[in-house]
Amino acid sequence: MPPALAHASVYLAFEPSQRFVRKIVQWITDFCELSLQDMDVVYRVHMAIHELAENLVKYGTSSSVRLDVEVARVENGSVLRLRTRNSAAPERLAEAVRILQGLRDADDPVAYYDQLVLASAPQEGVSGLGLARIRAEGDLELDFEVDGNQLCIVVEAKLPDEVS
Amino acid sequence: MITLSLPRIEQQGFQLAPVDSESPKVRFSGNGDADAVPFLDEFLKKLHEELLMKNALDVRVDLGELYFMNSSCLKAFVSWIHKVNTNGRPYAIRLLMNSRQQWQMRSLATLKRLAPAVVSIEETAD
Repeated sequence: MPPALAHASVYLAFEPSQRFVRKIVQWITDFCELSLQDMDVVYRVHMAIHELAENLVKYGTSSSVRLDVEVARVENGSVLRLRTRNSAAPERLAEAVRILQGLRDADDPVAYYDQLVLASAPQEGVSGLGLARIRAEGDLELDFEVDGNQLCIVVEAKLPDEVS
Repeated sequence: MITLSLPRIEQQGFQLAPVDSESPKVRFSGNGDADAVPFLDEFLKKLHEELLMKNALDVRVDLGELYFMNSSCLKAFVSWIHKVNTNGRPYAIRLLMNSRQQWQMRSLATLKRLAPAVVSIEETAD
């Protein structure tokens, strides 16, 4: 098993096109695996990368969207941080903020996710579950910022040092 | 014995198919990403119609070789399960998982919480 990285970062800026998603998910997952020792965390981060990349492609309105990945040392461990940035149409931005605020403020993210799952069930062709899934199924920290029509989403996984 | 007449779908990256078995069984394998979503939606709609037509009491869905499922594929399952749960629960849905696929316990638990009277989760025998 490789030792965890002390610090590393990479970013990808790309046209929001579905044809890039699979490769981007694979590249970023491979990069993250350099710092991840636990297969359950690998899955949860992989799922977050996938959902974030698909969100960028679905909802990004500019010619370029961006995905940053950073591994940094913190006390007693590391943190793996994924950050997306894209411009979005006003109605999509408002919907994303509503979901993100709900997730950030929820005392019980799984209960909030279950509400979203139930609400989405009778709707045709709409998911809207990707971000909630990152927080609830992935058990990852989620935060966001809005600057004009730019949405920045930050996902964090805390990686405690292995105790031997 | 109920034989399903659903079409077999083989695309680059994923497969959806009925499985020869004593009781109704289908398999979704490969990678459930955006490419799979329209096929999965259609497959589950046809599966539901056929199970109703044949008065099936349950169906097994083998996900043992499904490596990932995105939220849109998950949503296809959510809609199907919700339809069964809110229309008299005519049959049960048995999801066959592979615990070596780390994602499955978390994602399939979401589906079970949606309709615990309809959905059960079992380990694949294979």
